[in-house]
Amino acid sequence: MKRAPANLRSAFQSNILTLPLSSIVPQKSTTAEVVRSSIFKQILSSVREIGLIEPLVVYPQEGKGFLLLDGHLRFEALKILGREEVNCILSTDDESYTYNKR
Amino acid sequence: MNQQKVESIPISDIRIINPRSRNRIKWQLVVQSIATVGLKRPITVALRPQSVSDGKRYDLVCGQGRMEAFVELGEMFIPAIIIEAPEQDRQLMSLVENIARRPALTHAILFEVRVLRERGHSSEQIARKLGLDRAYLYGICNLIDKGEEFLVLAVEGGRIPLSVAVEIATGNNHEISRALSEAYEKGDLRGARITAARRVISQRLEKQRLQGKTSPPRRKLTGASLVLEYKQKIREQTALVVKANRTRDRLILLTTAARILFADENFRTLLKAEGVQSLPAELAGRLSQ
Repeated sequence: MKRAPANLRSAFQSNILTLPLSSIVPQKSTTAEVVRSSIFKQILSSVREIGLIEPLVVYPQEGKGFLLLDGHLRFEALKILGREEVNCILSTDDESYTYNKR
Repeated sequence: MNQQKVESIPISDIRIINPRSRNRIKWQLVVQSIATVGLKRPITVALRPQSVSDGKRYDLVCGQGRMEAFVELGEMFIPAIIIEAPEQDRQLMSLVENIARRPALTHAILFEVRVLRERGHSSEQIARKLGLDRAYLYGICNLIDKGEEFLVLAVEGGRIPLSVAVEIATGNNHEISRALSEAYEKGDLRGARITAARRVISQRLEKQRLQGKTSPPRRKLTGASLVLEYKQKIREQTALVVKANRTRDRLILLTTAARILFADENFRTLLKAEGVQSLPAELAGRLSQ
């Protein structure tokens, strides 16, 4: 099949990395209030049952690990579940705001 | 589950197993966002067994909105993560949400702009990264610089338009800004009155400062007291205008009457006979006009 020229930009690299959780730096800490919330419990149990559906999004920082752009709650759930590694998409940009638009 | 790489696949090869009806407005935002800043993350699809006959090689696991946005934007292909999972798991994955689809926090943009600036990005770079209008972003930066977080929250919460917030933040008195935004939110002050009200209050504070009252023992400036003061000033000025208009009308009447009288030969003779030879300069000036 002939490929149409892609007009739209992708803001991520095409390879997916498996990273140790310890190399990922979250931008904000998850509060106790969030951990108690029902949305977090929902995420926790779905991660426990079927794993991550979409990878986390990170941005490589020179010598300082990977900045977590999207997936703070899933990251927290993985930590609680004692996972050591996670699949990550490498973003080509370091902003995390536009991930809010789903 | 086996994930390695993002591949570009034909959208026509994807079957949507559990269609989700979406909020059209939110979806338009997704389309707009993808068109401006690009696709931020690939969709996820699962490979179907070779034996299926409808020509659809993949089942959609996650990303219906993004996929439809790509179609809307005229794309035939979309970057996707292709996973292999048994039928049952695929069904489950397309149903289960394991991300928080929560609305963006009201101060998310404030947080983001601040963080990006700390990392040394310029306002223009940030505007490009976030796909936001530059003027809008400058407004936000201005608010942040002035420490008017309550104003940014009010903007993000949709209670005050950004243009008004920027206007309120102009000047550097925190208390005035707070009172103004309070008054705006209650609907007591709108539009150009915001500017007028700030000027009135600033002038008052300046006057107090010049009179040596550096910290006048006054009540806390609230939205209500500010509106009261603004209205009081308006009343004074309106009264002044009314008085001026009334005076001008009387003057015209008097001048006209005098002109008619002075045009009368007999009246002039009478004045001469009575020895009244001069007129007040003000009146004479008006009569000769």
